[in-house]
Amino acid sequence: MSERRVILITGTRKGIGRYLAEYYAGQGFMVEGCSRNPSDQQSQNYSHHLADVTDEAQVIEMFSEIQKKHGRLDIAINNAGLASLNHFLLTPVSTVDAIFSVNFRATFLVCRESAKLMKKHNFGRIINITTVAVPMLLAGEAIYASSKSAVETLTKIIARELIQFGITCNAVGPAPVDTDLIKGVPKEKIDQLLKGLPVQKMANFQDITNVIDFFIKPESQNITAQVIYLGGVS
Amino acid sequence: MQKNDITEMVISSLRQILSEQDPEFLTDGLNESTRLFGRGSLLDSLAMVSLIVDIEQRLKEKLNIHITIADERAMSMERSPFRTVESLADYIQLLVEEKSKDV
Repeated sequence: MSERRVILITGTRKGIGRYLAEYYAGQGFMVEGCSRNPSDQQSQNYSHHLADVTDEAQVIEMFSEIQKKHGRLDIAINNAGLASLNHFLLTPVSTVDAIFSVNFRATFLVCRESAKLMKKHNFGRIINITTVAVPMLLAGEAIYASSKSAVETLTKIIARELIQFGITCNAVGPAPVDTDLIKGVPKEKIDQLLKGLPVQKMANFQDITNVIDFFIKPESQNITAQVIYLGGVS
Repeated sequence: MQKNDITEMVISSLRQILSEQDPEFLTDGLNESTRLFGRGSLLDSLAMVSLIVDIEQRLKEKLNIHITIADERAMSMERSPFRTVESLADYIQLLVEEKSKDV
């Protein structure tokens, strides 16, 4: 394996994705990022793709560009995500479609196309993002948590199908992180959520990269189909 | 893309997959009637997946055409297109022609 590993991160314009892109570019990885809008990230190790990851044609085109540029992909982090907080009885079906489209459909597409590239070199690390809202069964998060449950099941099943190609697939589930994803959530709701966690504090970006760093290590070949939550829930 | 070109692509891809499966395997005798799946076939199910993915990638790289070979129609056909090199090449040609009409 070459020294410079190629990593794809979705949703890199802001929030966790932006931090991940800057962190891995700073570590010397060749970072391929994407979002629907342009990014102002400046790094010689970073390239940005304008792509809607829910659109199959755009995803395939992005992977075609990565294949032409690097001829490989070592790591994929499915970071792009949407959240919604609403009472079940008040949830429009359009919200269900939008949340599942970004959180599940896009993850499926990026996992599938990543694995096709990774299998050429019999090595790959796929990291999906879930949430503590899944094990905590948080009221008001039925749709968001359900979409992430689907991501967890996808992660565990494709881990079994892809390990023959040297590809591991795992997920990390952060406690709330201070990003745009939760900016609409009232402070009382966040405080209430944190009280339900053994570790009663918000997660930070470094907590997330700590888990991802473990998953992507070449030595972690035997770590697959795992979901690691932050904050002490299981 | 002519039928002969597609057949050659399928055989070339098959040769690569079989070599990865067993480097000692002699791939000289591969032809249109080589069985891919079912009784007497050369591939296990995992190798069949690799063959399909490899062909899809070759079509994307060489012709910039994206097709999904193992689509619902292929899976529900009375005579599976995955039986032999020839039947698979026929099905790929059909998909490529349909895709060309769409563009």
